[in-house]
Parts: sequence; C-alpha cells; structure tokens
Amino acid sequence: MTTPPPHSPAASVSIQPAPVPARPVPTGAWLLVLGVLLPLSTLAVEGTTHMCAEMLFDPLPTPVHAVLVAFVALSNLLALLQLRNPTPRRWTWSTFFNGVSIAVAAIYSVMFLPIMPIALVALLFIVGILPLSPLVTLICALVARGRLYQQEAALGPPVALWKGLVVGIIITVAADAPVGLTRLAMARALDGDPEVRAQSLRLLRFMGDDETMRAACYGGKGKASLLGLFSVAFGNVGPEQARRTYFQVTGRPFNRNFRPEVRGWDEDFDVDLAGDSVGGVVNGLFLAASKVQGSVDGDAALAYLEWTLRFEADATVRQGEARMQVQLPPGAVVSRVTLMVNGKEEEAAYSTTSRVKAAYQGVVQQRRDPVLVTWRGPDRVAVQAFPIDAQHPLTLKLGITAPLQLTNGLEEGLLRFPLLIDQNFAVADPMMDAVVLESRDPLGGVDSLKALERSEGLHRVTGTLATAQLSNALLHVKRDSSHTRAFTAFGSDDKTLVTQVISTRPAPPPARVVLVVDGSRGLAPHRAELAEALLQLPLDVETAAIAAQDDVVTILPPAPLTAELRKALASTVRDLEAVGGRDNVPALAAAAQLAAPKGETVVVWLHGPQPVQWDAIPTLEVLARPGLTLLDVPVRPASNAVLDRIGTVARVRALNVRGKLREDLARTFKEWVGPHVVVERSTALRAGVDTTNAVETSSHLTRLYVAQQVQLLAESGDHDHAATLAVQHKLITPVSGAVVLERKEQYDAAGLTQAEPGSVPTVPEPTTWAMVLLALWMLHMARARRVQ
Amino acid sequence: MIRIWQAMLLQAVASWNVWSWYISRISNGSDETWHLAAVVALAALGLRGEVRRAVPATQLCALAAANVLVALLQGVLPPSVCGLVCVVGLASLVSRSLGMPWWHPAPALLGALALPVSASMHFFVGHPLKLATVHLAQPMLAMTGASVVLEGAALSSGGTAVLVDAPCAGVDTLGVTLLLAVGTSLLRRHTARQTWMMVLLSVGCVVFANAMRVSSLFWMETITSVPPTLHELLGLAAFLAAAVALVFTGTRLHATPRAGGAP
Repeated sequence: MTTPPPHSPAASVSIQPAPVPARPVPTGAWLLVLGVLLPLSTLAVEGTTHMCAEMLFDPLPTPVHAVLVAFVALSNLLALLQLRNPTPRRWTWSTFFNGVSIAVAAIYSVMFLPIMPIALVALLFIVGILPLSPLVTLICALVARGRLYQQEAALGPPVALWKGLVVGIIITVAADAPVGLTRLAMARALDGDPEVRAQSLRLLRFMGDDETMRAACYGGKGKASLLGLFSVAFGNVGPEQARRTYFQVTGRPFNRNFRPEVRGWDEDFDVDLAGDSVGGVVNGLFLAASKVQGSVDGDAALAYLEWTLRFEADATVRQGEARMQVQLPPGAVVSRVTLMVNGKEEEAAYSTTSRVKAAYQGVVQQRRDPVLVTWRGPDRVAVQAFPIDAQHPLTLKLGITAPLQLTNGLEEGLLRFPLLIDQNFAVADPMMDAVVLESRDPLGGVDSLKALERSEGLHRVTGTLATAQLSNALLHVKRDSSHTRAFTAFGSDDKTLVTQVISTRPAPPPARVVLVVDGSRGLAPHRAELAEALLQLPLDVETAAIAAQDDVVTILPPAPLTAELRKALASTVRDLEAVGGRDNVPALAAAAQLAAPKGETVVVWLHGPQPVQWDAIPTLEVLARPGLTLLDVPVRPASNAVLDRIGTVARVRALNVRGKLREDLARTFKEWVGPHVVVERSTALRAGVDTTNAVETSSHLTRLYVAQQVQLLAESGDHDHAATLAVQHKLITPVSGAVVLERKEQYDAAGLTQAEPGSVPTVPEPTTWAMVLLALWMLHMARARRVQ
Repeated sequence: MIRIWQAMLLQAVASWNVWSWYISRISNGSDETWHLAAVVALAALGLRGEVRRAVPATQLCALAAANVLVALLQGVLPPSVCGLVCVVGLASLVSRSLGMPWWHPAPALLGALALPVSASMHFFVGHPLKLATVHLAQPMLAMTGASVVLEGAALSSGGTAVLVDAPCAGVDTLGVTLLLAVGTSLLRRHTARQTWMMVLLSVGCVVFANAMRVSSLFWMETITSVPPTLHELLGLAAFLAAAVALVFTGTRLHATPRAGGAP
C-alpha cells in the first residue's frame, strides 16, 4: 500500500466515516432518551398543542404522518432492545425497521431544515429541541445502525440498509402523494407545452387534492409536502395562476368555498384588496342586513330600487374589504351610491372609471372609508367597500333605476330583483330581510312578498326574499296597456323632454346566428335544457355552432337551418363533453370570424361561470365589428371575467332573464322572427311633443335614456362624450363609476366632486317628527273613541 | 541566499503603499474590521514557521516578477489588486516557512481574506448570492407548504414578503465561513485539493445556511414582525449550522502528514 506524497496534487481526497470505537454494547440511556422518548414526546406535544402547526407549518398533515413518527421511535426502541439483549429472533426485524426509520427520519430532517435556525435559537428556551428531534432521531438511528453491525459476527448479516431505506422512502412519499403530486401537477399545468398542460390537468382532475389547490388560490400556507420541494422547478404558482388552474380542473370558481382552514396562518390577509376581482372569501366577513325599498311606475314601465347593505365582521377580521358583483335587473342602471359615515349618508362622486378606481385605491392604502362601484358588463356592477371590522360595520346603499319587462299584451310589467352573483363574504338567509315596494298599480307574483292595497290606490308589497328565491323572483306589476307613451323633463331643462314610446312590432331576423357552447363542467347540468331551447331556433336563418372544448370544435358550419340540422344540433349539445373549465376565448374569436359579410350577426354565447382572466382575452376585440352583437347567455348567474374586459369594446347584450333558461332562450329566438315589445326613448322639445294621453313620470326615465345613449356612444368609440354624459347624470356605465370617500379633502385630492343630496334619486323615509305626530294623533283618536 | 524573513521584510517594504491603503480602508470605516482576524491568523502562522529557511530561486523570481509588474502598472491597477499581489506573496513565504508548498492555497486564501474588500465583494458577489439564496429558499418553503412566488430577490406568499436585499446577501457570512474553512484546512493539514474542496463546500454551506435563514425569517414574519435582535440570532444560528457542517466535514477529510511538522 502506498501513501500519496504530502500536499501532492495527486493526493486523493477521501471522506472517511467517523470511526466507531470498539466498545461493549452500551446501556443506551441516551439512545432511549433522544431516539425514543424525544420523538414520542414531540409527537405528543405537537398532537395536543399543535405548536409547530400553529406557529410555522403542520408536520403531521395526516394521521399517516403521525404513525410514521411513532414508528421511528418504536424502531429505535426495538434497536435498543436488540443492542441490550442480542437475540436472533429480533435481528432481522430490528435491522430492517432501523433502515426504514433512517429513511423516514432523514426525510423529516430535510423538511425541518428551513426552520433549523429558529430551532437553534429556541434551544435557549428548551423548546427548540422539538423541531430538532427529527435530526436528533436520525443521528440516533444511524448510531444504532452502527452498533447493530457489531452483532453481525454473532447473528449473521443484517437486512441490507437499502431495503429499509427504499421501503421508508416509499411509505413517506406515498403519504405525501396526494398533496405533493397536486402541487407538482399545478406547476406543470402552467408549462409552455400544451400536451404537458393537458396531461397535468387530467392528473389533477383524477387525483388533485381540492384543499391544496384552493390553498394555492388563496396564497399563503398549504399542507407540507416533501414533493412540493420539486414543484418550484416547474415555475411559480401564484394565486392568479392557481385560480386559473383550479377553474380548468373543476369548472368552478375557487371562491365558491372558503379558504382551507390552515392553523396559524394570517388568514385575514386579502391578496385581492382593492383589486379588480372579487377574489377569495374573507372568513369572518358577512352581509348582516339587506333591505330593498322602492317605487314602481307601471304606466311608465320603470322602477327605482334602493338596496341597503350592511356589512359586519367578527373579531378575526382586521379591516376587511367587501367585494361583490351585482346582477342588476335587465336594462337597469345604478343611479345612486351612498355610504353611511358617522351616522350620515354621504353621496358618491361620479367620474370616469379610471379616476374613481384610482381615488378608491388611494384611500384604501390610507385605510380610510371608501366605496367604489364600477360597471362589469351588461346589467352588472362591481361594488367594493372598505374597511369593515368587528367595531366598524359598514352600510352602503345602491340606487337602481330599472325598466319593467313588458309582457302579456303590455298589461303586465315584470321586475327582477338585483342579486349577488359573486362575493367574498358570507350571506345570511334570507338574503333580503326586508323588501318594501310601492306602486300605484297592483303588485304581486312573489310568494314571500305580501301584497296589500293601501289608501288612495297605493299598493305595497312587503316581506323577505331568500337567496334561493332571488334568482327566480319576478315581481308582476299590473298596468294599463293603453299607456304606451311617457315623458319627463330632461334634467333641469324644462323645455326639453325625454319621451318613451312602447310598441309591438316585428324586427328583421339576424342574417346569421353563431352559437358558441361552453364545454365546461358548469354547463353539464343544463345541456338538456339548452338542447330543448335550441329546438326553437328559427328555421331558414343561417346558423353556425361551435363548441369551446380543449380546442375549438365546429358543431355546425354556417348553413340555413333546417329541421334536421336543428335536431342534430340539439342532440350534439345534449351530448357535449363538459369537463373542467374551458377557455372560451378562442371559440368566441372563431365565432367573430364566422360573422355574416352583410347584415346583422348574433353570436349567442351559452356558458357556465367564467371567472378566469384568460391571456387571450384582448384578441376578442375582433368582436367589436359593425353588425355583430354578442348575446350573453349564462346558464346561471355568475361572474364573467371575459365580459369584464370586452364589455366596453364590443356590443354585448344580456339575455332578458325572466324565469327558466329554456323559456327565456326560446322567447328570445321567437322574438328574432316575430313581433316583440320595443321601447324607444328619445328627446324632443316640449313644444313639439303631444303629451295628450302620455304619462308624466319621474326623472328615472331620463336616467334610462341617458344610460342607453352612453352605451351607444361607448360602442361607437366616443368614450369621452359618453363619459361626460354619464358623469353629468351621475350614472354607473361602461365608462363611468362612483366612489364615496370619507372627507372633502380626499375628493379634492382625487379631483372629484361629491354629488349634492338633491341631485340623485331617493326613496325618502318620513321625517321622524312627522311619524311621532301621526302616532300621537292616532293615540288621541283612539282615546277619544274610547271616551265616546 | 535570501532567507524567508528577509524576503518577507522586502515584500512588506515593497508594498508600502498597500499598507497605507489598507490602514485607511480599515480605519475610516470603508470596510469591515473582521479582515484583521485574517491578518492576525496569517501573522501567527508566520511566527510559528521556520523563517530562517532559504527561499528557493523560483519563488524569489516569481515574487520579484510580480512586484515589478505591480510597480510598472502602478496607477493602472486598482489598490485591491496590488494588495492581493502583496498578501499572496507574503502568504507564499509563510507557506514556505511552514514546510508547505509555496503555492499551497490555504495561506494565500488567508491573505486574500485579510484584504479589506468586502464592499467590492458585496457589489460583485452580492447579487449572485442573493439569487442563489432565494432560488434555494423557494423550494424549501414550498416543501413546508407555503405557496411562495419568487419576484426578483423577494419571496412573497399571502401577506408575507421577505426581500433579500444587499445586506442580507451573505457576503460577510461567506467571508467568515471561508476564514473558518481555510483555518480548518490549515489545522487539519489538508492538501491543496482538499483545501479547494473546503472552499467550495463553504460556499455551498453559506448559500444553504442563508436560504435556511431566509426561510426562518419568512416563517417568523408570518407570526410577528421580527425584531432586529431575533434577526441577528437567526443569522447566527444559520451560520452555526453551516459552521458545524463545514468543520464536521473538514475534520473528517483525510489528514496528511506534513514534512515540516507545523502548524
């Protein structure tokens, strides 16, 4: 044997294991304490106090993990017994289990490495030994292994170390698999290769852990997993990416459920604060009260509702923000926003959407009280209110001007109630705990609302509306069908009138209809209903149909619709594969390419929830072409991130929802080729208007007219003019929003002017003193009668 | 024939401008004072060596050539490079006095560590160290269940964000760990190759320890706002872990008997 010369470059580098001194088998008191009692104590402490889980991460996410930790301790005990009393009976098992426990303890040691500095500092207070116990136990298991080898001569070869290691690794990784593979697949689902993305989504649909996916959507802490170590190799999975993947996998918006319960995490942190989306649910934030008051003018076919919402929070919420999307009645516009500040109702300031958003975000950063209301597609607005905590509830009010949907030969007007379609807070039932609507015309049609006729022909409905009732609640207003004309003064200009003329007449059918059918899971329960509705499509109209699957699939190329084609189309839609959440953007873009070269094209988009801001949404500007209308048909009310973006550039119309989807669709198809109610609003000089037999109504008619004009101007690209008009009339439109700030200086800083109380519509409460006087008069009358 | 002590004296005198630069850097607060520890260690080694030995002609020529080159490029070379030539020259003499090959890296590294250049090191090495740290901390945190997004040199997750900025890069920790590695190599009489291995190991240990520190701080930030004292303690704990791993490995590298006996 030769020794390399000292300091020679050729000298070999070798790391030798620490020499194990030949010594008699030890009593092993320290092995008992550090290798057996320490892990068992750690398990007991963590199992009962959840100290590590509360403060850092959960080392025992499943019972299997707890069993593995106990197993390591017991394996060390077995090795200790073998060392103290060598016996062939235990030899095989003790050496095999030792190998397994080395693997398990090594994996746990690696998992605790990120907090080793904390553990070392905490050693000053003894408790640091607990997070160090995997490492200490690993050292004990290794030392025990070394000493077990000393029995090899007497008891024969031990079970090979690698066998125990392999089994230990397999068991630990298997316990980790649901969480670890989910995180790996979520990272892979963002890969640039479509095939890899598709494979990952399939894997997630098959075995994705819902809690792990949702935890990633909310950002922050999820379950610990060794395999998670490798997930970052495939890229960052931030909340935005995770939400997209969650939708693609499940077909549901992630915020349908609360944030998974994770011990010790700063749960009330809200990554979506002052953002554009409703985002994750804030635990502890809730809608405590909701009241709708309003008046209905059946003859003028319009209504005004004031929806008061009171938000409260429990003690876990520190300055929460309530965010929601509100589905308005068809054709409605938000015409008033107020916030209760120090017991006083403060009116909003109205300006362009970008300016009010900037003002809101600035005030949220200062942690003051703002409310923001912006347009989010046809018949829907987004509302944000901040801050809400246990000591500071927040009350806001939305004023909604809505047209009635006329039916039954103009003898009846229908009014839908506003409803929440997406929100980040809990909602108690009944959703609307007080509804009070008044009209000079008879009201009814909603079971839970009690109708009564008051003096002087005033009708009133009162009651409550549960969440389940809201989407189908339709107030019926009896009206005089001969009242087809209405008018009101155009703002303060008494010489100009806004007029409304109601007529029934046929409209020219569209030159081409293009159906876009969402292939997402959200559509699955409605396929049969849609298929039935499609059987009402008008014949002979050029019709095409495409489906948004993983790719764009053509169901029906453009052709005049025959009965056979229609039947085949309905059948295809009934059997359409609807899995996960599909990106509808390519299909919508393809539909725009199928628009008729001449005449009107209607793209009918039949879809489930669309909560994801797909990257390709900007390509949908192709929908903004003359003669093309996008008819938005959600199978149930839900948020729609696609419409958020294209609603201001393309001509988008919402389906006139009155009841069941099938009936609404069938009615719309019939209206394409048959007579339907047309409501025309315009302005004219008072001198030129014949007001005989016309109904003079409130200024809400002006608001509906202006909202319509703003929509047309915005669609024609004249955003400046549209914004000026909208702000002048204090309306929430595609180009304007409203913000309520706390102090005048904040309005000044944002360059906004708060609305004067008299300049916005109200449903005033009677003066308190008047009510007191009335009550006293009634008491007096009662007493006088008794005396009589 | 020139003896080692004479060559040392000549080298020290020839580098008089380096010393004035050195003293000004250390005394005016431009740099860290821990470099003095390396100076002391180098001096202690020199004092323990056989300085009456003769300097081989090749080493003498190499030293002379290096000094001439520095003199010719005076004003062109930055003071830190002149300083490096000076201390490496001295270190080679110390190596000789200890009976080690004069090109042995351990004393030369000790000399390099004695140079007050941490500010420059922060500039040149800081960013790569930061990137290495956050790229290692991210999977560590992911393993413990945190959905962490890497944004430049910052890690964010939910409401918690930890920015690894310049003072957190670990450049000073790297310097001290290298000092420890070189010291261990000298004590354990490592070969040149083993010494380089220790240097590489110390870089790895520092990056790993830094990632552990960042992960710990991240978790602590989810609990409470971390006070500076705890920052300090966590940094020390992370360094301790790295130092234990380094010394543990260093003491287990095969020691080689040295002809000269010392150190």
